[in-house]
Amino acid sequence: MIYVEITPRFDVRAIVREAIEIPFVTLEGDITDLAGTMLAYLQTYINSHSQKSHTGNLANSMKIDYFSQKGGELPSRGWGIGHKLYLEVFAPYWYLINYGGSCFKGDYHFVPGFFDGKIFKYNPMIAEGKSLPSGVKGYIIPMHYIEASKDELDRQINQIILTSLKG
Amino acid sequence: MKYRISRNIEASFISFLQETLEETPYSWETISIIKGFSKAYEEQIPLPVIAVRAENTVYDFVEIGTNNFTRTIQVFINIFADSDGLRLDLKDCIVEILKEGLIYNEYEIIKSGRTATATPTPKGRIRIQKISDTPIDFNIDDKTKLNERDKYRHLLTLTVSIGKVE
Repeated sequence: MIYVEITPRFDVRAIVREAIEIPFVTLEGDITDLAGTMLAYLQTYINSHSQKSHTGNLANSMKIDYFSQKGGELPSRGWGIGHKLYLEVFAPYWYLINYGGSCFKGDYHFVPGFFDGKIFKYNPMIAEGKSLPSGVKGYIIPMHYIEASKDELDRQINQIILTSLKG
Repeated sequence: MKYRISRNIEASFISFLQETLEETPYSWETISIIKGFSKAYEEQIPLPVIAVRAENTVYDFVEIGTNNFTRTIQVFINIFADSDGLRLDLKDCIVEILKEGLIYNEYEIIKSGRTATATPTPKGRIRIQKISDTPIDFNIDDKTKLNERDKYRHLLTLTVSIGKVE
């Protein structure tokens, strides 16, 4: 069971603290289903914040991982989106795109932009780019898709809890 | 011309941080506080730099059947420091300053010839609903390969509201 305590926000005449018990199974099912909604949100956010032509590499590299852990005091299960090891292989600039900056790995410098035919066009607002030998200047403006998704996740979980309380 | 809400929030944050950081007991006088992000990479602006951006607004309808809503905005404060100690001091200092919220100003731009002045008028309060704190580490062994602006960075993400029904 999960134990929730609420205080009504808008009705000042009835500031009553209520203790309500919600069957954990209901919440668990809803929160598991939330994975698909959050994946769609994250992919839409990334695609809508990437300007001009882009391959969709980062958005397509976002996958849901379900996990369950048995043993210990309480068995637990859950999900996550965007496994770091997977992203390092398929969208290696995921961190730079989220936090922005002018950074390079190894001896190469990441430059944001896109290819127009054979010509590379610099664009700091795009979530893709190419590696150039270090010394070439360029920076990427942060997309903050992780922070935006965390905020949306909090809102969705609050919504699930509120809906469960209303029955 | 008047600024709209998101720009008012950004400008209120910038002027509040500028004033408070320069005052006692903080007395940070050499900090550049800028709007946006890209200017932080301009070499003529000395470190440390604090970059403020208001992004990602969420609109919640206040009740069923109405078009009125309240808005919640994410404000990103990027700190670019020139040492690890300064990075930590600055982020703690900013959290301490902002945790109780700040005055929400509405700005009016008055043009006179070639110059324009932004005049603030206090119109409420910006409430901080949530603060999260993320060190930015590009995980590169040799820090000399990093741009000096990326060596000691920190991100504060604030969820804020002005509590107005629009």
